Amino acid sequence: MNRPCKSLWSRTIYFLILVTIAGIVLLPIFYFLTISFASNYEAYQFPAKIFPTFSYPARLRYNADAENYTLLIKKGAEFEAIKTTSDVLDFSLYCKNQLNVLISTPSVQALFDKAKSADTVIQIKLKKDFFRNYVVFFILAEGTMHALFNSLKAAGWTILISLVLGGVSGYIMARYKFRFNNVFSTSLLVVRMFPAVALSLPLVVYIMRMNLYDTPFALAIVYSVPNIALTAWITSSIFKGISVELEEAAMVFGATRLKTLLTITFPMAFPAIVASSLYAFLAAWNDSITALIMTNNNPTLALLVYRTVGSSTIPNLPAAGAVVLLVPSLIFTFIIKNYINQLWGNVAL
Amino acid sequence: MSYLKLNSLKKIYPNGITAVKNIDLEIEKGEFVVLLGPSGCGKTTTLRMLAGLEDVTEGSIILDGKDITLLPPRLRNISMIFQSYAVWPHMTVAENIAYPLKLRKMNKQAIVSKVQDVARICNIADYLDRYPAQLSGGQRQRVAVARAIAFNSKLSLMDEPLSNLDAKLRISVRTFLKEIHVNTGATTIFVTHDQAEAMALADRIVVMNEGSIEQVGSTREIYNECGSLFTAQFMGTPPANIQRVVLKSGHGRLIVTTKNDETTTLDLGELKTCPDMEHLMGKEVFLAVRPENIDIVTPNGINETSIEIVEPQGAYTILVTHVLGIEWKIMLEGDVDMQIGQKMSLKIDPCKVMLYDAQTTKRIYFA
Repeated sequence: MNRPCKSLWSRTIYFLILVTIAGIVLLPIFYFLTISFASNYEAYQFPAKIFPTFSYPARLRYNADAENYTLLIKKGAEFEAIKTTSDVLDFSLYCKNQLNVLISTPSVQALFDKAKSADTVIQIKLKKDFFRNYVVFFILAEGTMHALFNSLKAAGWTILISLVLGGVSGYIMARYKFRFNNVFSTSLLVVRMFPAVALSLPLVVYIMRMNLYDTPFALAIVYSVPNIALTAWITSSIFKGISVELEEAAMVFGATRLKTLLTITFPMAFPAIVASSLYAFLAAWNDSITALIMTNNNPTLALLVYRTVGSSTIPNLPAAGAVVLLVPSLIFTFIIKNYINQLWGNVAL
Repeated sequence: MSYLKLNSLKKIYPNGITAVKNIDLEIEKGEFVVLLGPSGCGKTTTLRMLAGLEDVTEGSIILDGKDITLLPPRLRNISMIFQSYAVWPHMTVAENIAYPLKLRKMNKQAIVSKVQDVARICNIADYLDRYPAQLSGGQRQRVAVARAIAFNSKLSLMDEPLSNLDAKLRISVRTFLKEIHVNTGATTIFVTHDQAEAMALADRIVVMNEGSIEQVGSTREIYNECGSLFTAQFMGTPPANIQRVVLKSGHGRLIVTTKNDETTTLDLGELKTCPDMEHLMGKEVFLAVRPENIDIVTPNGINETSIEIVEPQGAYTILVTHVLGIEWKIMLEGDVDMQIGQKMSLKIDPCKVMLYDAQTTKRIYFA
């Protein structure tokens, strides 16, 4: 909603505050993104760069006395020697692993020849393979695609289970008066108080008995436990807001109870249902603790990222994994945001 | 056999509250019947039982020769206009009107032309593509009416459809509803607590109180021949002046006094014929006199009193005075120029006086 601002002053201050808030929120994310594009060499540098780089300004020097070559990369005002070798393959591998620069051995040989013939320091430009970390994470790290599908499956099941059970509970809480109504709705919240670990440990026993251990569906069951309660509370407040007369009108005018639910109640509660599905998705997508307990050979993406963090001493690869993890939630959130905002006739129900 | 018949209809809620005690009512085809009563009298519950939105505890409902007591709402072929209009906010006006027709599996072209027709009748043809949130209260009400007309049901129910409108709009929508009824001839049951609405719209008024019917009759009957003390108290603005009195006769004149103070009397005037009056003499009854059935004359020794309050209303004037120790209201036509404290004599038309039994509160007919 556009509220007209009174003067230039208040407008300026308003935007300054907005930019500050956006900066506080976005800067760490942006920095994280930069790290995810950094090569190992860059990740070790201090101070780290704010903006990701696409190439290195570098020099190659031929050392006539030792008959080898030294690679120098610009650091501040000066050039720092980072690799000295006479072997072409060694140089190429170093570029690939430490600098994220893909350069073939013949090209290296050509550079070496050029440096030797010039008999002095030559300027070279090393172009970075920008998405190298992502390629490494996805293709070279084992089972990433598998983990991604596991995550999607677990999230899908979580949404389905929480919406069906939570939505029905929410409708009942909103529409029917029964004994212990309050006890029921409060007890739903009590379930949310248990930490995921406390729930998953005893559940593992049952899930093993049901032969569901190490499956995304088993994960979804655990994720749904707190989400059913949340969905019930969100949807019940919306169902309460939908006038009973609207449902009664549909029934008088020829609709069955089911038809009324499907054509009147659910479309009107759609924003709430969508919001609940977002919560369910995020809960399933971001969890790694439960997945750590409940899976063995079928990890989720979040768990995979967690493992990468544990196994790597440099932050660039885990950062790439985290960004990979972030993208689907961002896409899902943005798709759903449109539905949450979509209120009929631009007026809240 | 009448078109709609309610046989000793009864409703007791699960929490033990009796909403409707015993309703027996017969309605002819094409009639406009208004259920009138104060809030909590069971009129809306009765209507909801007719629609099938409340279970009937006892009794039966026969519509057009068919027992519909146990049918679910959708199989009753009854349309309803709700107090909150109940137009679906996620559908456009056209979709709202078409929804019941789609459920009836009418073909698409027939639906479109039907929607156009009723929209024209209800004056909402320009808003067919709008959502209810973009319409005013009165327009939403028209959408609800259009939906009900398009449905073309056996019975049309209206649950206080005017009470959410502002006073000015209420009068015009009232006229519109009457017009619709005259044109469509739909059998209609209308629930209201507003007697002006009831009297303006009804072919017959059913006055309800505490879950049972007090009186059924035309506007004229309900207003002028109140069958019970409740009706006399409920109908009229201001309602009838009611007082517990003792009847006394005197030379062909009807004179009343109160039990506490027998010295002050009220002379109701000459009775031409009063064959049954003798046995009532000395008995305690309720006397009801409508404010407009009292006239004032210059002081002449009979029923002398003085004006305490003058309330001019433009078309009429209300005077407040004391008669037999309690406050009475007198309604005079036109803008009457009277002063507070001015003396006057009351002249009451004995033919328009209503008497009720002090115990049963039932009407005592005489003259």
